[in-house]
Amino acid sequence: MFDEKELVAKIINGDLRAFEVLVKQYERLVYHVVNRIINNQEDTEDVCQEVFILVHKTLSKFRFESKLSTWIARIAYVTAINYLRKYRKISTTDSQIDQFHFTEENPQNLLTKKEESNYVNMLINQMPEHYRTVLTLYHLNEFSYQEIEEITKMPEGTVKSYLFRARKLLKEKLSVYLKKELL
Amino acid sequence: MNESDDEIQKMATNGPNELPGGAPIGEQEDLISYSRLFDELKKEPEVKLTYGFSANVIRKIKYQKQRQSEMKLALLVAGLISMGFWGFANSIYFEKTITALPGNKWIIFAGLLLLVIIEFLDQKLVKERRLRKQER
Repeated sequence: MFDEKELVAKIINGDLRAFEVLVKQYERLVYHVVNRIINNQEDTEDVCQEVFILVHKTLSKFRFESKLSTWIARIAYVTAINYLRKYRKISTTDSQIDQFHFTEENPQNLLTKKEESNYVNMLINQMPEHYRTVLTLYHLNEFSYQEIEEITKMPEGTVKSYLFRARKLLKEKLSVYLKKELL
Repeated sequence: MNESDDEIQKMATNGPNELPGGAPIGEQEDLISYSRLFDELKKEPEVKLTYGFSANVIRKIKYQKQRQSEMKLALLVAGLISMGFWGFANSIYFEKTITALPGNKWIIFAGLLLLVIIEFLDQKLVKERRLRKQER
């Protein structure tokens, strides 16, 4: 476990090796947030680099009022969303999110279904970015509701509602999968 | 929110992992599905960042810092040259120099200006693009 305050102080004083340690520590977190939102492997690495450059630029403004991981996740979230807006890749509006349903199965989906993990990941990738984000932040990165609110600036109630609905939609698909698996 | 689903989601997160004996089969199946789903959601997908990702970030930051200091230096030099030229233009030597230059003196000035523009465009359009490619 490394001392974050000491590390941040070193980085602010211009120590790039200390910053490399920070990048290695948080690259997985940033990758998962960015990759889930952007949903495009080719651009994910560029956006992750952009996130860390921004972290380096603005680290002197970090006041330890939240966890460093929350602050970095916020930068990753905003950078990824801005990327989607810039290239007009935002797939759904707020009103469409509530009415989201999975599309019919195609042959490629049926092939992916053979492995449970791949199937769940494929389903998540079909979901609107808000669902993907809250699922990743809560289950994979293990942030609390309050931290997700801080990262995404969505009200806690909205976070809970998106999480509930996203899980329910996934569960419905997975139930069918599990029943077929048992047959 | 559907209350039953909400409760089952909570149970799948915090336990207990079994519903009371008389609970409908549908709810028990839902609990199993949710538990399986939550296990899947916790699994970390493969991270596909290139080897040496952190080193690439550091290289990019170093490059940006270098560009910033070069830019500051260029601005400082440009400021000094402008001040020097302004001082020279206001001195008694300026007119003497201009009259001493051969007939087509404006061609010399235009040539100098053209050189500066070519150098600027070379920097902007060719060198920066090459450097960006090298970074990737």
